[in-house]
Amino acid sequence: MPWINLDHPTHLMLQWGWLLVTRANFVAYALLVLCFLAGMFVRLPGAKGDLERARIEAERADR
Amino acid sequence: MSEELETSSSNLTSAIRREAEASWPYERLMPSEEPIYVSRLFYLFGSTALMSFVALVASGLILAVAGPYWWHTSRIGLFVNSVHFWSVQLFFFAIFVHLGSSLFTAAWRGGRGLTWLFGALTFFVAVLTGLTGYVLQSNYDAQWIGQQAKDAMNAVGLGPFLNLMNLGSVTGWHTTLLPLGVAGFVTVHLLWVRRHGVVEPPPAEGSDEHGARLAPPEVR
Amino acid sequence: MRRHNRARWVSSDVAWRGPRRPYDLAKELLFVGGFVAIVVVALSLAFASPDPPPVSFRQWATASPKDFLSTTLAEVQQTSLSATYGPPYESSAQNGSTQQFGPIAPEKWVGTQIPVHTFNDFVAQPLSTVPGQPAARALATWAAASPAQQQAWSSAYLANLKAAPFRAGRDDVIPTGSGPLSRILSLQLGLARSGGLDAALHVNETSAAIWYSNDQTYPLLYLGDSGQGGTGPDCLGPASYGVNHIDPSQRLPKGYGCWYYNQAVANTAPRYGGYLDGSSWGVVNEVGNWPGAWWLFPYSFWYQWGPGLTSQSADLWAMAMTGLVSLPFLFLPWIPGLRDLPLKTRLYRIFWRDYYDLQERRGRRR
Repeated sequence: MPWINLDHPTHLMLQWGWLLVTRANFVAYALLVLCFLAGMFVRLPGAKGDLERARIEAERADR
Repeated sequence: MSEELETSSSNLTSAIRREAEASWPYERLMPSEEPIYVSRLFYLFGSTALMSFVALVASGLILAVAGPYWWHTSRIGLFVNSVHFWSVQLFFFAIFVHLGSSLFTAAWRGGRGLTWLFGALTFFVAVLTGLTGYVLQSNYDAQWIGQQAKDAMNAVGLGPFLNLMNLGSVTGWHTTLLPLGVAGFVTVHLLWVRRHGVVEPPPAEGSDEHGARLAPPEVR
Repeated sequence: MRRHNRARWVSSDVAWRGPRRPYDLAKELLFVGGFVAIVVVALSLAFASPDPPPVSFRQWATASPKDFLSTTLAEVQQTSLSATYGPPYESSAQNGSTQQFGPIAPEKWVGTQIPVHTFNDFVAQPLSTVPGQPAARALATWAAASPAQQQAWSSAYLANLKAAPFRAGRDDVIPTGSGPLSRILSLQLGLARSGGLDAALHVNETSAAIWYSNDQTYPLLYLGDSGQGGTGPDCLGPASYGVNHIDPSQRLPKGYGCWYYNQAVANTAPRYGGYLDGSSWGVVNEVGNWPGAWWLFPYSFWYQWGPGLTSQSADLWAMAMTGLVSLPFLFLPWIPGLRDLPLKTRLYRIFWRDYYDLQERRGRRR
């Protein structure tokens, strides 16, 4: 431990005017966006089956 | 006779008990079913934040018992500190995603304003907990952050009460006072979630806000 | 929703008339807990955590003796940033550095709660711990002298300090014209290099009842006076350090160093502090390549432009603006108009697409 040593000069990912983002923080922000999208689009385990069952039951009830 | 005593309006205990039973019956406190709209992954990020907090408390207890300098010279200590460090990252990560989904679903609807408020308060206390944690590290980070942040603390008159350069004081803030604050606010937040139920989507066309159909489906 | 009649409100989970699906709270907590544990342990094994070694007076006095000595002189003269800070360390700010906006000055309102007297606390008291009290007479001479005399000695010492070569780390500052200063500062340098100053500052015995000490206020304030409170020409950090106001007589030309502040921006071993200063988003950054407190960007933002960069009340500005923005965030559910914005984005239709699809299918003509 550690397998990957982060003890070296800080790398910047972005520097534009007074906007400055280190590489590590950029990764955090990018993952944040990714997980937010995943939360929006990915279904909970078992949800697909439950939704299918609900649809079938609703059609049966409507008939 | 006992029934009379129990339902007497002046008995504080029974009044509190009745409120609690109405707001938090076991079926709502520990649900085994939810409305069909609880179907996407974003519903898990609240629990993720909670479990990260558990990891913080667990690793934090070890660090507290071993003292603030242990982890600088022990490999196990470095590991425990690393668990604590990454749990902080995961905690705020989960909170931000949870905040995002709660914001864009306007989860305060239906009288859930206090749920939002206590969640936001949890976040602010957590930020303060993180700050005091940084200056408890007893390394260069702690020195720099303590010496720099003193100006912000002093500017708003907090300097003497939260002297970030005083390790003794900071230890009390970070290991006791603030985690209790986080735990307290998050407990109320969770109780309120269970009390009001998971917020419904804005009504679909042809349905009311409780998911019931407003008119029978048209049949040719 | 609470109704003002006898009928009890019900939880929406109970009131729900639509379809339901099974949900296992206990299993969810277990699985999520397991996931958190695995991720956190994996990250810890992979990356560990940052542990930049602390700075010490021993290091400072050895690596940058001119910076250490010129700073200590400022502590003796009580012209340093810490000595002229004002509340909570002194009763008034001689350098005008108290942060305020008009009558709003919380810094002044709390008063002098952490008294600091730099001559006594940073120099005289630590030197009194040296066996034989070698600095006693020099300290007394200094304290008894007139301000004009003290200034003359100080100017002479600084000139001598600038010229001193510090061959092989020796303190070879010529004492001519500097009165008792040469002895005081030389002893302080020796004490620092032995490691004794670190110890003496930590256990500043103001009372026989105090032996345990966990308070690093004095040493951290002292370190922060390095490089003329971070404003010196040798400081690598950007203009943000200029927010620190010091006595104008403190302004020294290049050559005296700025050791403490440069640790935060030099991006070199052993600390790899690269972007830790306030105007480089330092609040959200960490040493090396670890992620920092990225969640604090709404606060750090205020230090990057305008009053956050140039005002003497930059910190009050940043704290006030962050607080101001936090209020609508906190009370969002009760702010008409603002609270309706999130639904207007119609993002919720993606979050709940499954439910809306289901309801739509149910209503479709057959």
